[in-house]
Amino acid sequence: MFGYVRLYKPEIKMGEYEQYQGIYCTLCRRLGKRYGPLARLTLSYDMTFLALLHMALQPDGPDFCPGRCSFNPTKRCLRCQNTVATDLAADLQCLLAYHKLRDTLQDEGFSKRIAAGLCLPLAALHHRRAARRRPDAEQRIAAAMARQQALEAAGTDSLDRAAEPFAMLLQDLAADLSPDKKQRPILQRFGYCLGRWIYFIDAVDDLAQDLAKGRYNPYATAQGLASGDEAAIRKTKTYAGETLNACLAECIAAYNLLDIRRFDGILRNILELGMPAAQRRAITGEEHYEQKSV
Amino acid sequence: MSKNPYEILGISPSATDDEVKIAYRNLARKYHPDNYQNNPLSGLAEEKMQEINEAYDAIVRMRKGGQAAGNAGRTNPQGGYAGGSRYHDIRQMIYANRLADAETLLDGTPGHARDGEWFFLKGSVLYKKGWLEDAYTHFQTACRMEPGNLEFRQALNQVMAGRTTGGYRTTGGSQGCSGCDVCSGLLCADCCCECMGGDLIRCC
Repeated sequence: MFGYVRLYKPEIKMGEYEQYQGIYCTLCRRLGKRYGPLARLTLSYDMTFLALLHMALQPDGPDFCPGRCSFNPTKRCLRCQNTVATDLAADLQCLLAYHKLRDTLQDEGFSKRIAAGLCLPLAALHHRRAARRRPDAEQRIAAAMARQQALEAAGTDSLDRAAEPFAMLLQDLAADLSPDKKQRPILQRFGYCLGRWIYFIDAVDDLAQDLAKGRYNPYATAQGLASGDEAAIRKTKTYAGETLNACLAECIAAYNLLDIRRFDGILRNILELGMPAAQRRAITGEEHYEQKSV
Repeated sequence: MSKNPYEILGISPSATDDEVKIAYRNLARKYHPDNYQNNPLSGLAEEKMQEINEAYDAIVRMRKGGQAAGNAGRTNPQGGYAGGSRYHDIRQMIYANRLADAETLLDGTPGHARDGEWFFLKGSVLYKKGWLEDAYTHFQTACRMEPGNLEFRQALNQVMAGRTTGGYRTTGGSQGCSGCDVCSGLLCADCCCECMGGDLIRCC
């Protein structure tokens, strides 16, 4: 996952922002505790969202207490005493980070490959420990990555098919977030559409680069794009915006059915404002803060 | 009902009648069957809708001092379909979320025998599976083949609504109020004044 599922700061309430920061901080801390200080570098907004959603669905809250950031002790932040959700997010983060690196090693350019190669031994170490803790998740992620690579190697021209492995992965990961059986089908739909959204937005974001370097990109293949055809690229990006909207609308429809016990404001801020802002940023390349006219 | 009806509507028991009505309307819009057409979660949305309807009815009943309250006029989500179609079994399967079976049967229909309804049903299966792009093209084909069919049109419209708005709110209030809004507001006020015998803008 790549950092698109994030807050829209201008519209969040201060109290909610502090809670979000607290969860972000706790996730960072737990990464350090479980995998060593360097694992903290993999910290991401996407996994904070996952932890947030997990907490929102549990009967017991995260139980905040005041604390300080361990990198910057002058900064106060909240800390969660109940770390079930952040531990899960930390483990998944290490698993995904490792597979992402492996992916980079295969299809990126020379300099990025060198960088990935240097990080790999450490990531492999984290990965081994995380895989021991979450064998099911590791199996699912590895299988999804293999299917993804096979599809991309085959150069599939169906957007739906290309997005399927990652969407299915999130469907499975999301399904386990709530202890309540009734929430399962809703979470599955939510995860599936969220996975599609993440896969597609990453594809839009990389479109120009992929075209220049001749790499597989689902939009380029589906629309038969050639490098340098600016008008066609712009048209494809508009179309991509529609596909992203469709996924997000389904995500929100599923979210509305979930039994959310806390953090509804933060989650809605992310789904209804943060993700559309990320979409705009990926499509137009502009910064997303709008100037208030009044 | 196990839960407190006020909790279900997300309001306090001291809310005014108007607040109750507004909370009910907002929730009803959120869970309306139209938002969950071809969605595997439509059954759950229906349950929610029923819960809200019951909660609203209960509150109205309580406030009227035990008088029976009318049901708030809900439409039947399965209303569009009249029987007698050759796809009857497939429709049943789709409704029961047996998507793989429905897809196998649909794919067994030879290419020349595929009519608008075939494309509509295949689109429904794809949509429920989450294959939103292929579903969109199938609904489009269905509408092209049978432009007069309301059921197909409705499905396409719902998909298009999601594609254009994304189902999210636009950044609240940041658009502000444009020059046009000011003028049209003044003109409206002027018309109202004139209706009542007064005048706000002399020249018009």
